[in-house]
Formats: sequence, C-alpha cells, structure tokens
Amino acid sequence: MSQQFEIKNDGKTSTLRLIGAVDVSTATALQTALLECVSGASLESVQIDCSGVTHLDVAAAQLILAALRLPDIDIRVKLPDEPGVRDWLASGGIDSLLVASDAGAIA
Amino acid sequence: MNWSKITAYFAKFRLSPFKPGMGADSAADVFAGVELMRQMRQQLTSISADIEGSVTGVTAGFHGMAHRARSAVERAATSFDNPTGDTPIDLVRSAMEEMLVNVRTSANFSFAISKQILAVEGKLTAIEQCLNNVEKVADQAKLVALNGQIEANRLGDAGVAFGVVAQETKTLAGNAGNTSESIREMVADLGAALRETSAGLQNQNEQDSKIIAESEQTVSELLDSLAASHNHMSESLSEMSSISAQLGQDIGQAVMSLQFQDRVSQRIAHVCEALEFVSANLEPASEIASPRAKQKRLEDWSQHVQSSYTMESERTGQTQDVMFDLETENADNCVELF
Repeated sequence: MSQQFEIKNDGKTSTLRLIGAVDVSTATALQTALLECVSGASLESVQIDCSGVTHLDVAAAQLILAALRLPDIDIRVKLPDEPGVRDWLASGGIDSLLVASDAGAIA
Repeated sequence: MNWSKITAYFAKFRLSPFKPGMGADSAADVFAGVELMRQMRQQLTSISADIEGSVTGVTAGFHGMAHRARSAVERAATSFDNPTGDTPIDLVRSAMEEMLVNVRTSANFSFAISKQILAVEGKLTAIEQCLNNVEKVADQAKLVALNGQIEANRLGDAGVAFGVVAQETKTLAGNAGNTSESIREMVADLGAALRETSAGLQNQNEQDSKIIAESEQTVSELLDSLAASHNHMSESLSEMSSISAQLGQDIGQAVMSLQFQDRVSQRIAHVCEALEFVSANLEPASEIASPRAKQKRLEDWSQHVQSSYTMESERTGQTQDVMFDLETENADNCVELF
C-alpha cells in the first residue's frame, strides 16, 4: 500500500483516506485500496476521504467515480473544505466527480 | 401249680392264706380268694392288651419318625445334588462371570465408539478447513466481481454487459459464501453434538469400568461366602444323613426290644391260666360256706385290695365285679397317673 492511502475499518464503516498527489502512477494501488474497502461483507458504508488530496488526476477521479456506481454499496466521498484546493481539483478535469457531488454522493 | 407265688401274693396284702380243712370261714376265704383271682385274671388280660396296644402305637410312631427323618434327609440330598456334578454356586459363578464378560465387552465397544467419534471430529476439522478455503475463494471471487463492476463502470455504456456479468459473478460468490457459512454452522453443530456424545460415552465408560470392578469384587466375595455356606450345608447334610442312619438303627433296636412285649403277654397269659387252674381247684372247697359269709368275706378282701388302687379304671373294674357300692368311698383317694 502506498503511503498516499490509509484504510481504517471500525466494523461498520470503512474509510479510505487519500493523501497528497493521486495520479495515474498510483491508479493500481488506488484500485486495490478501493476493493479492499468495499469488499467487507458486514460493512454498512464506505467513505473516501479526499480532504488530504493535493492533486487528483482524471484517471484517479474516474476510478473513484466507478466505485461510487457500485450497486448495493453506500459510498460517500469527502472533498477538501478548502475552496482553493476544491477549485484546483475541479480545474484538474474531474467534472464527472463534481456531477456526482451534485447528486449528493460527495460531501 | 406254683403255690409259693400264691402264698407270696396273700402275704403281700397281709391276708390269711387258704388252709384246707378249716371249716366254713375257710371256705368263705376260698370263695373270696377265687373271686379275687378271677378279677385279677381279667385285669391282667386287660393290662396285657393295653401294653400290646401301647407297644404297637410306639412302634408305629418310631417307624414313622425314622421314615420321616430318612425322607427329609433324602429330599435335602436330592435338592442339593446336581446331576452334572457342578454345584449351584459353580453355576452361579459361571453365569456371573459370563455376564461380567458381556458387560466388559459392551464397555469396550462403547469405548471404541468413543474413539471413532473422536476420529469423526478430526474429519470435521478437515471439513472446516475446506470450508475456509471455499470462503476464501468466494471472497476472492467477490473481489474479482467488484473489480469487474468498477471496470465496467469505468467503461461507461460499453461496460454495461460486462457489469451484468460481474454482478452475477458477485452474486454467485455471495451464494457460495452463504452456503459455506451454512455448512460451517451445521458442521459446528454436528461437532458439538459429537463432542457431547463422546464426552458422555467417556464418562459412562469410566463409571462402567469402576462399577464393573466393584461388581466383580462384590460378586466374588458373595460367591465365596455362598460357597462356604454351601460346603457347610453339605457337611451338615452328610452329618444329618449319618445321624438319620444312626437314628434308624436305634429305632430298629428299640422296636426289636419292644417286640419282647410278646413274651410279657405270653407270661401274663400263663399266669392267668395258672390262676384259673388254682381257682377251678379251690372253688369246690368254698361250697360249704354260707352265701352271706361269702359276700361278707369278698367285701372285706375286695376293700383291702382296692386300697392300693390308684386309677379309676382299676376301681371301676373291681366295682363291677364285687357287687357292692363304692361310689361314695374315698373319692379323694383317686390318683390318676396319666
């Protein structure tokens, strides 16, 4: 597991925290981390915490978006509170992720 | 004719013996003597008959006693003996030992079943291991299915069909996991039941072994005690048999001795004949006495003779013969010995 990802599991909610720059070079590791978070049989919800992200490229964003569309799994994404970073993320070309945020899946 | 015995009899009762040629008084004496001799003859005959009856009764009683004693011993010996030569104790010991062997065999069989149950428990552990592998495969299949769904989602519309396949794969993986979990629960229940059964059997085996050991000890002690009692009874029976034989011999001897009563009867009969002969010879000498003198002398002598009688039967016989009333005489002097 790359140091850009942290996984916490309290038995009910699994949290994947993304840290720093998440780009195409970490896509495979991100996918593995996502699978680990969503595969728990007894999980009630999964949270993808992006508050620590400094850069998120399109490939990584599409991967998160694909995970959000998994049926029967409640996945929520937490975006950075800081508007500059949020705008910067938006400018990074993750429109679809923001669309998902508009749908309520992204906090 | 034994005159000395007649004289001795008269002397015993302090009477004056008959002296021929002494006149009317003497004739009355002769009359009284003749009458009394007749009565005594009758009494001797009666006594002889009584003795004979008593001897016959005693002999029959002795024979009955000997027969019953012999029969009792024979019955006891018959019930005690066994045609096969084995004593009842031996038979009981053999039966008990056979029963204990069967119980021990049953306990060993139960112990073997307990071991087999333990072996089955080992198999269940292997099954659980297999189920772990199945669940691991199911989890991996689920992971692959999730990955497939993510990839399908990434492809957008082009990945819809693949998403359906991934979803079905995920469903199959879930079913496999659920089935494995159900089997695991059943195996766990089965294992618990087997462990409980095995523990119960082992506990029962331990108790059975203890009980068998105690039973063997108790049965052995009881049989030894019974054997000792049996030997004692056997010895007692042998002793009883010997005593019974001795008793039979004693009774035979007693009966043989009692048979000499015939000699007594014969001798009494001879005495009676002698008395009759004496009476017949003396009776003509009493004819010259007057009836009154005869009656008076007979009453005197009878009264004297009766004074030694102790039994009512003696007195009654005398009373019937002497023709005078003794009912009011000396009722207090009556002594019945039997």
